[in-house]
Formats: sequence, structure tokens, C-alpha cells
Amino acid sequence: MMSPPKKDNVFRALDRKLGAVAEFTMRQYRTKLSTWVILGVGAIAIFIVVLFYVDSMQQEIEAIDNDGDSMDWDGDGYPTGQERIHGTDPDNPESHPGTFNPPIAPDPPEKWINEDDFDWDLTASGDTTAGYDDDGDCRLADSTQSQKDNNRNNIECDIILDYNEMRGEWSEPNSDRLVDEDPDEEKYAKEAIHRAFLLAIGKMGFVFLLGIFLPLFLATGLIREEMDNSTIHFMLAKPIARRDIFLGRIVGYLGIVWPYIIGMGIIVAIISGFAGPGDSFFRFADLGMWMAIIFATMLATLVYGMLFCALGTLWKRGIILALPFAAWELGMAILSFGAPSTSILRFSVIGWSLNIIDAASLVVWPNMGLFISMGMWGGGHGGGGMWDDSLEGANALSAFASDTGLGISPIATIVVSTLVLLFQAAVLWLVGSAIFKGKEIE
Amino acid sequence: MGKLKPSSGSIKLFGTDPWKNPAPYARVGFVPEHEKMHDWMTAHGFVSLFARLNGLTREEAKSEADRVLNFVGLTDVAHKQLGRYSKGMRQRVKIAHALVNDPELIVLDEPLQGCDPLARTTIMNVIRELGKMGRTVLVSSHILNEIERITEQIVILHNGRLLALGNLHAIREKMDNIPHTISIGCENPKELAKDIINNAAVYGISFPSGDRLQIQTHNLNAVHRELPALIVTNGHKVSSIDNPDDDLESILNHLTGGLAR
Repeated sequence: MMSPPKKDNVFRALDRKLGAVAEFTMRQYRTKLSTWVILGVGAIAIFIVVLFYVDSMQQEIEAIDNDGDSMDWDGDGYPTGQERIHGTDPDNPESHPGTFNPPIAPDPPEKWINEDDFDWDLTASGDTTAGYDDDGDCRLADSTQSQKDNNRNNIECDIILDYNEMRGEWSEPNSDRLVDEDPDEEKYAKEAIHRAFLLAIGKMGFVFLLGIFLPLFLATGLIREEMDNSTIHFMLAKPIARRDIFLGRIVGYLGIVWPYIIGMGIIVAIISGFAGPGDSFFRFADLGMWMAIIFATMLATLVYGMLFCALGTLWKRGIILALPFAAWELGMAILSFGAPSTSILRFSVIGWSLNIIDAASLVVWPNMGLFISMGMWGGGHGGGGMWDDSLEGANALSAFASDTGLGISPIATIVVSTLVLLFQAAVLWLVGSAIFKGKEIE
Repeated sequence: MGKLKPSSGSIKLFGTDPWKNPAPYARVGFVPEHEKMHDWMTAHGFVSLFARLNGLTREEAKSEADRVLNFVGLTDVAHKQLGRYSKGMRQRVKIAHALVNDPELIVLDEPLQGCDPLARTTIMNVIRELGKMGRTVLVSSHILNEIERITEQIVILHNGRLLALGNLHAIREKMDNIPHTISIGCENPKELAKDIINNAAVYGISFPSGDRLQIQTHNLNAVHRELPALIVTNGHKVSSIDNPDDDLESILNHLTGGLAR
């Protein structure tokens, strides 16, 4: 017998069949109520977190007089800071700048709150000295040389920054007395909370929650439901390989999930871009972070989709097999916050996905480690770690920010992580379609 | 069809093992027995999807779907959702989907199950039409009567063994010698018995219960031809007509002389 004439090459034909399966899958998912319930629940979960964030951005953060120099201890009407730079005795009501000729009017106390903010150039890496004594209380004329340079680096009124290569983090800043000691809490906290929010929602909200739960509910049944309904027979009796059916189903699932992730990412990016702190009306620099978050989540849904679809094909109750994986990935996510270079993370999907976000955060916000270190130091009133002097937001940011853990440059990290995730997806595709191929279907 | 592995021996479809290579499916149309379909799709969408799986482009698939749906007589309702179709219509959609790409071999698994008489006739006409067009049509069925109306060539398999192969009439003739029973549920069995005893093919009558009449015959078809007219003209109230032994079991029993059971 004659075989049908070949209309075009193998790849075009495969593409047509794949396209047909993918298109069918997308239309099938659109008609299912459960799809919309799952996507809706995901959106609600994300937006609840966004609400908390927007609320925290609206809240005023109390300005604290960290160094206490806005107080008028002797009751002469002059704040301590003003008396100090004019050389009068802050503890003697008879001694104040009002007695000068001509007399100097007293400053309002607010002028001595947040008057010595951080002056650390965060873009210059490798600096070992930073800080400027804005209020002049370090550079007083009657201070001795050793008072002005009590960190002994022969630079008056500065802060020694030391990046510890071995531990991969900044050591506690070592400052001269009264340098950058009264920082602007609100300015620091808003920036730190904003960054912490982006990292938290990117890592836990997008990559973990959406990245695992969408495939858990949407990909596990891709093949299994058709098998249980016996509707798979129609497809199996057509000249299409099971491996291509598997891939076509995944592509169709991604056709639903990826636009959703991109849409959600854009919406949250716009909200946080306008609500976030900063001088400009929109935080354009953050868009790099959002691209990384969306990209990492897309890759995660691809790999988990392949995995869960394979597990669903393997067993009727594949979701039970998938849950331990989800738990494992949650553990790996938490581990990656504290110990991003742990080698066990290489055996997870989420470890590689989070690497992409961490790498992007290092590109978008250079010297993230120093920024955290600044907030932890908080002006240096802690008296050598006696009590926590950190500024609001510093701890949160420190919890969610981490190094990439691969020990290579951020761009290289993104490239390597992407390749690894694509490799994982390819392997799982082959494994999944091998399981499908071996299945006898009654 | 490449869904179950043979428990012994091997399966070849156009010379290829379909489990390893799906290519020969391009020359086969398969109508599965299962009733579940994608109810949210329209018949046209359903058929053109599977046309595309045969490697057709979207446009080719659409015109191919029009062609095969026209062939099974569903053009009018082609854009209605499958969920709103009757069983017979769904069965025809399944046949239509198997006909895309004009396969040489068409396999139908229980194509008449659950269909009303009108749908049966339509489907049988479609199958006969395919046969006239020179296609090889393989129909599996448990009801011999249906097969008789479609084809003359039959194969009877039981427990994986070939029991009979060849012309239906030859097999049928053998079977004509065995007695058949027709069981009629009616209000007044004795009145009905009076009318039916005149039929030459009837040789025995019994009354298993007050509302039931049983007829013994050597020629099932002769009785069935006359029965409806008889019931209507004499105004009998009949609730059911069954052929309790006209199933595969009893035929097999006869053919094997009791060995099959």
C-alpha cells in the first residue's frame, strides 16, 4: 500500500501536532472551573501580602533621636547638640550660645533629630572608609586627636568598613565617635522593607507558592485525567508519539500558567514601583528584579510541571507523590536563606530558581551586604552588642537576602541556573514520557 | 491498538509494532468503545483537533472536519457542544473523528452500544457506505443481529480462541437448527398466544407467569417480522420483547457444543 504523500518536513508536522495538543489543553483548562479557582486563590494570596506591604509603606516610622542631642538637659532652651558645637556646657544652664555677642538663637529640638544620617557611598565597592560627620559633633575644635580618630586609621571622623572575604560578609562597622550616629530611620526602614518585600514575595510568593502550587494542581492531572476518563484513547490512536503528547500537554499548561505569572508579576511590580520609597515617582531600577522573579517562577513552573505530570502519569494519586517533593522544596527554600552555598541545594529545583533572584538582587542593588550591615549597626549605639541597635527593616532584609551561593558573578549565576533548570526539565520530560510510554491503558 | 501489550505473541499494524512506532496510525481510524468525550468541545472542534494530530494544518483540518461530519450526517449540529448530543450523535462524531485523513482500515469497538434504533440504522448505513468505498472496516460487537445487518464476513473469538470464521450465512444456517426463545411481557398472554400460534415458525408456547408469554421457534427472524404487525392489528398491550438466548453466550454454546461455557 501507498503511504500518504509527505506535505512538508518532519519538524513542521511535529510542530502542528504539538501545537494542536497544546491548543487543545489550553482550551480544556479554560473551560474548567477548577483552573480559575486555583488561579484565583493564588492571586488572592499574593495580593494579601501586597496589601500588608502597601500598608507598611504608608505608615510613618517614628524619627528617633539616637544620640540624645535634641534634649535640653540643663533647661536653658538650647539642645545639647547645638551647645556642643558652640563649645558651651550642655549641663550648665548659665552656659549657652545666648550669652555670645551677638547672641545665637536656640535651634528647635527637631533640628537635632536624624541630623547625622549615613553617608556611605553604596556604589563604590572595595572602599574601606566611609561616613561624614554632618552635624559636626565629631570635628569639635576642642576634641583631641585621639577622640576624633578613636578607630585609629589616621582618618578623622570616619567609619572603617571591612569586607571579610573568608566569611563572605561585612564585619561590624568600626566608627569614630559621633559619626553618622543619628540616621534617618524612616529613610532606611522604607528602603529596607521595600527590598525585603520584593525578595520575600519573589522567593516565597512567586517561586515557592505559585511555582509549586500551580503545577501541583494544574500539571498533575495533565495525562492522568485523560487516562482516567478514557479520553486518552482518541489521542493514542492518532499518529503522534506519546512523548509528543506529554510535551504538548505541558506546553498547553504553560500557555495558561506563564501568562498568569507574567501578568501577576507586572501588576505587583507596578504597585510596588509606585508605592515604594524613593525620590522618583516610580522605581524603575526594581524592574530588573521583577524580570528575574517572573523568569525564575516561569522556569520553576516548567520543571515542577514536568515532574508532577510524570508523577500523575505514574500513579492515580500522583498528588500524594508530589507532596513530599513540595515539602522538600520548602525545606530547601528555607535553607537557601541562611546557607545559600549548601551543596544539598543543588539537588533541588527551588535552590536554582532562588539563585536567579538572589543574583538579580545583587545586580539591581549593589552592595546589598553593606546596606544590611549599615542597618544592623544603626549608628553604633549598641555599646558593642549589648543590645540590638539595628534600624527597623534591617533584620527583615537580612532574613530574605542571601548570596547566590555559587561563588561566581551574578550574571554567570543566572546563566548557569537557567541552564541547570532547563536540563532538569528536559530530563523530567524524558522520564515522564518513558513512564507514559510504558503505561498500558484499558 | 498499541494500548495494551499482548499477553503472548505479537501485534503488527501494517507491518509495524504500534507500541514502538505510532506512524501506522495515520492509516487507521479507531472508534473506541468508551462513552466519555470532551463534552465542552463542539463536534467540529473535536474532529478538527484529531485531524491536526494527523499532521494537517489548521485550515486543512477544518475542511476535513466539514467533510467527515457531512459524511456521518452531522453538518447541521457540527457547532453544538458534544455534551448536548444524544448517544447516537456522539457515536457518529466518534466515527467521524476516525475517518479524518481517509484511513484504509477503520476499527469500530461496539459502535452500536446504547443507541436507539434510528441511530443504529444511521450508523449501520455509514459503516456499509465505508465498505462500499473500499475501506476495510472491522467492527467488534456482542450482538450478532447487528453484525448481520452490516456484513457477511464474521470472526467469532472467545477467550482468545478463534471459534468461527467466514460467511455469516453459513454460521447462521447451523444456528437455525437450534431452538430460540422469545419472551413477551404482555397484559393478556393467552390472547396473544392464540394469534401467534398460526405462525409457521412457532412450534411451542408456554406461560412462565401471568403476564408473560414464551414462544419457541426455529426461525427467529420470521417471527420477529410478523410480531409487530400482529400486536398492532389485534391491539395487544405489550410491555417488553426479549430474546433471552440470542446472545453471544448461547450462540457460542451452540457452536462449541457446550465447550465454551
